[in-house]
Amino acid sequence: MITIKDLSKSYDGQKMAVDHINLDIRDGDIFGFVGLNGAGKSTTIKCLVGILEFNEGEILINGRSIKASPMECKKDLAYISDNPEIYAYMRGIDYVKFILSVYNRPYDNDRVVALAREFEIDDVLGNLVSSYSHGMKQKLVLMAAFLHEPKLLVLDEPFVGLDPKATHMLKTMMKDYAAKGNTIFFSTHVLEVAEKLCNKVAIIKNGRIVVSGTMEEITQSSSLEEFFLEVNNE
Amino acid sequence: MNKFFLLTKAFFLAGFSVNRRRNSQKPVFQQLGIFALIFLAASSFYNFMFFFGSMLGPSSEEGGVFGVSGDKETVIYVLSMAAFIAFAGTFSLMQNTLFGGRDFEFLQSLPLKTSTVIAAKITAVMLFVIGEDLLIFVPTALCYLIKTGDGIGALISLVAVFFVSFIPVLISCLLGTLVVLITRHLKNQNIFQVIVYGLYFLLIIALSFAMRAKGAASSAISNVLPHIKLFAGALRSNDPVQLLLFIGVNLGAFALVVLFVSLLYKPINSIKQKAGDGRYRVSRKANASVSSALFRKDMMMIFSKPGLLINSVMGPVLFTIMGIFVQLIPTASEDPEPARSFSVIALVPLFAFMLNSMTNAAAASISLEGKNFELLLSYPLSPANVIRSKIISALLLPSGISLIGSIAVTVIAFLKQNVDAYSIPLIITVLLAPQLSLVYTTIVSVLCNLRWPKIYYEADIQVVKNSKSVLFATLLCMLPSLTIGVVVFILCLLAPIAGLIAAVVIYGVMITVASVILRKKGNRLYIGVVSR
Repeated sequence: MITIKDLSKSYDGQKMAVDHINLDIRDGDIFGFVGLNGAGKSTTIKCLVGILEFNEGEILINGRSIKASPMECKKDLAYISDNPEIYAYMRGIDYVKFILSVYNRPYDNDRVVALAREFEIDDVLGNLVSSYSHGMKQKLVLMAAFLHEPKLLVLDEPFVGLDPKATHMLKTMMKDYAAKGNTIFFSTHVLEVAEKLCNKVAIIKNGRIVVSGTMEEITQSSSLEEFFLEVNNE
Repeated sequence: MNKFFLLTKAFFLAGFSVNRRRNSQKPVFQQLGIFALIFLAASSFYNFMFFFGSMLGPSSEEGGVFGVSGDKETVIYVLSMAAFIAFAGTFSLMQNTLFGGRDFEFLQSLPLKTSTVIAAKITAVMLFVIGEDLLIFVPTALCYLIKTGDGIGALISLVAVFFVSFIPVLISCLLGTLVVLITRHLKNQNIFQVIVYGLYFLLIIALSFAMRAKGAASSAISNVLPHIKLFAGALRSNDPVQLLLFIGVNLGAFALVVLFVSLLYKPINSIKQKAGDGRYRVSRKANASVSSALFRKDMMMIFSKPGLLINSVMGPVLFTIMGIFVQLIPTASEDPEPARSFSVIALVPLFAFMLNSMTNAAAASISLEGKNFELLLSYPLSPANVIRSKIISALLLPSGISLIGSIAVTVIAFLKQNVDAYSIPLIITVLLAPQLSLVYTTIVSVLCNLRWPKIYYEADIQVVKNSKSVLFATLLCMLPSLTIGVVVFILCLLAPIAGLIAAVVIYGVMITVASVILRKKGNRLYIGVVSR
């Protein structure tokens, strides 16, 4: 599903935010991307979804280059940023309709209401997004992403701001979604979640991939948290 | 006191993007060159504003170039105009600086007095206005000094520049605070604020025309802004005591307003908008095309941001008002001769070119996406789709108002017999000119915003009023539009058909060139918005 070859990105032409990284993620994978603050997780994700241009390398989504065919690649993915500060002047329902229109998907009110009920935001869909709490915005963005059924879900810190119930529900939804053959790529600081949820993981440090592989390979002798701290203390 | 200076510096740097310029990697001589260029361009812009203001003052027959005679009177007049422009221009700026930011909770959590925060916020705006006043005043001061050699007078005037806009800004501050206080809990507060702003501007224009009808410019302005009388007295008699009194009055007014706004700051920011009952209706057309979904989103954005809405409608509304007032308000000659009537309607395209070139809402439309621009880039949307939507949404409202305005101006021209059947080309120019100028301004504004985007900011006003994109859009639209306006005006007086052809050809070429640049560079600039 995702192939990243020799990806490099520098903001100022000198310091590399992402330095020649390579990743291979298959259909049905739940891929955890972990690293310290400023390690290069968000930059990699923004390059992956076509927000940032990159200096070197190639990113293929479903065999298509994000540089050469951005529109086709973007049709297959949904990106959820770490900051759910979406259009404050829209009502929740307007945002949902907007996303469905952008992805050329039909609006099905029953489905919208059912999913909103699962996320427990069905009673506020008619309110302005500006009146939502951080967690409610996060739920709305997640709900809209699931509605247009992308083959690839890219999430930057998806559990930040969610209440325990919503976190549990999201984890379940992610598992079910991947079980259908879709791919999930997400960054997180919550290593316990990554360990339980992901079948593959990569640790990034100073823009470089330090280790990448299946969860079993990485956690053979220790937990992901211990391994992560060991890697970052070196 | 230290906290006050620290906060003022922080608000000023944040509000007017000074830090970005300070961190620039460009060589010193290049930075100086850019600064000189911006200074010259801004000077020209403000001197055009001065020219615009002077047109509202008394006519040249009443004495002097701007209706003022004597060097000292000219200095007083220029400073009075600066104060008047501050009075007209800081209403929404002040309102947004005080109540539009997202820093309320953060500031409240710090060990700071509310009055210190308010004083710092108002001072940050004052500093910006003083900068503008200096741009207006420096050329006049130099001329005055060279011509008269009166050092004390020049010094008094220079001191006055730092205080002359205090009271107008404070009045804006009070009005802005009261409007927010009244409208804060309303569902359609944005629309209400825009209406209040429109009425406020209408009042200012009416006041300007009233001044024109009454008499000498500086005395007329000082009747509106009486504190200027003190400064005028100080300059006329080179009296430092009056100057000190002038400074004292301004600082006293500043202290009172700070105290007043401090009392309201917390209650106003604590009022929460009603969340609503969460109910909604699904329209029959729930499935929209990509273009219409984008357009709908952009229109929602325009209507949700008072500053942007004001920028969208101010030009067409003002040119309509000017076009009507200039025909209805009597001037020195009560019985207009045919030649004068003709010149009055020929002024309308000039007004339209000049005022519509300020309709630069599109220069902030991409910046206002803020962090959402990253999301926009992750959607399967072509740059052309987004750019087209920005242009159409920015054009729709002002061009509608401008068309209605043109028709109203034309109807009045017919009723007042300011045009006749032989002036059909002139009427077509009056109907067409505003639309042409709006199309040009919108395309150039979008280009400027793509070139100088600012998607990380604290308050909307920072991108709506003070961003580099808005500044360049204003310069790139206003300077050529004024030049074309004057050319078209003169040609319209000589032969209306020539004026019409000139307007269509010149604007046609400019619109074509701007469109070609947008088509060629738009995609590249769009993709680079986040990277830059």
